[in-house]
Amino acid sequence: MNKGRNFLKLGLATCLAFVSESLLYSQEDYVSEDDLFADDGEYEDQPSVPDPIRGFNRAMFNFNDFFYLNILKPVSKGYRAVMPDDAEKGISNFFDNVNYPIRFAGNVLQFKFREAGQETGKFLVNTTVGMGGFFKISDDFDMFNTPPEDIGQAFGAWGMGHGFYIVLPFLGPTTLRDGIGRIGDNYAHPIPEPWTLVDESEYRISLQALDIVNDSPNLLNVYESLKGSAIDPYESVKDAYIQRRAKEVAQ
Amino acid sequence: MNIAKNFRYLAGLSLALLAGLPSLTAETAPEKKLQSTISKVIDVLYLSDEEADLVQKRELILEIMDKSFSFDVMIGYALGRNKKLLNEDQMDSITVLTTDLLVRSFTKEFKNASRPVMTFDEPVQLTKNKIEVASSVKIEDTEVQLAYRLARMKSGWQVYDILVEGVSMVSNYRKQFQEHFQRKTAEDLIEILRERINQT
Repeated sequence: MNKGRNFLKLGLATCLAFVSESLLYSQEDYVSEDDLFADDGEYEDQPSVPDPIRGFNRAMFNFNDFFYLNILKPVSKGYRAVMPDDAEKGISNFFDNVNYPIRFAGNVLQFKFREAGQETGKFLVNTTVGMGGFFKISDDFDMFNTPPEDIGQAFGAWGMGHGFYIVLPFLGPTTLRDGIGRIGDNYAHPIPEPWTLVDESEYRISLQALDIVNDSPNLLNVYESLKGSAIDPYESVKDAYIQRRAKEVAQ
Repeated sequence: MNIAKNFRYLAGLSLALLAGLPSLTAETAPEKKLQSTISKVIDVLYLSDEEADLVQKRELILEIMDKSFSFDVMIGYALGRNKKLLNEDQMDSITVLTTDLLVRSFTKEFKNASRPVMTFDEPVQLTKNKIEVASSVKIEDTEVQLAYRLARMKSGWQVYDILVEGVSMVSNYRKQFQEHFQRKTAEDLIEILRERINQT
């Protein structure tokens, strides 16, 4: 009889242990709605980037929107239809490789000498073994894996603020800081002026156009997806740009 | 006799508790639940037009996503202090309409495209009760990086933010709502949301 009672007690204790464990689990191990975003600095409200030329920017945004969707998109669609995938990928790799001086300068200006070395190694491998950069051999080696940097990012890492928001015709969103950085990028880049390695201006323009058209399908898809779900597409794209740059600077 | 009865009762109780254990275990693998949800959503998206029209597809998708995505929490946070400016009906309308806008723009993206290839990375622990699951979605030649942030909430693991190419959708909406309420009212917002839905 006693044996039976002890067995009963043991069984009850086991059951209670299960019940109490699940109760404990549900009371302590979940996040309340109030705390969900509170314990993450990333969700703290950042001061807005000033937009003193909002009227001009909105007009440029509408102009670019028309240009992207009615001119660039059909052109890039046609280009994609005739261009074999491998060639498209190769061209994208080539332009990415050519951007090396910008990434190198961005790293050096942030005193990231190890990363600048990685970029140099990547450039050398892709240019030589990768046949002028058309094949991205460096993707097969973790040692070359480093986030891309530019001069605007270096300014950000120095603690320079955005200044104010600007929407450039054709080029899209930027800020005063990144716009100045972009001028610096042009000085480091081998294709555009002033220190270009391509003598003929027609070739220069063709190469830059090819770079834009070749890259645009991916960018246009992200742009369209962001715009489609936005309440105010202008504000949505502005915030997306600021968020991305903040992350790139923090890297 | 009594002991035998109690034993049967205890065995039954233990079995019932053990049967409940898989749900607890399932909660420890939220990334699997997420992958299953996304997979179900894609299945619905690629149902033939005879099986479901666009409106039915949206309803089905919303039904599936509602179990794993905390839209009301996301929109509540995005509204921030502006919530105080809203009455209950306005709050409900904004939540329903914003969710609808999101689902519509999402379904539009996949219309006439070939079935996407989704890959998921291993989850990264953000805090004790939060994880991030990075993924990439490849549709034809286009690849987009998506990251899902999940939290263990009272109702189980729920998605509370989606990062598209590193851009937090919740923060993006929050900025848009902040800008809106500086110049316009809740009724204007409802009107804009309806217009945007009609355009999508």
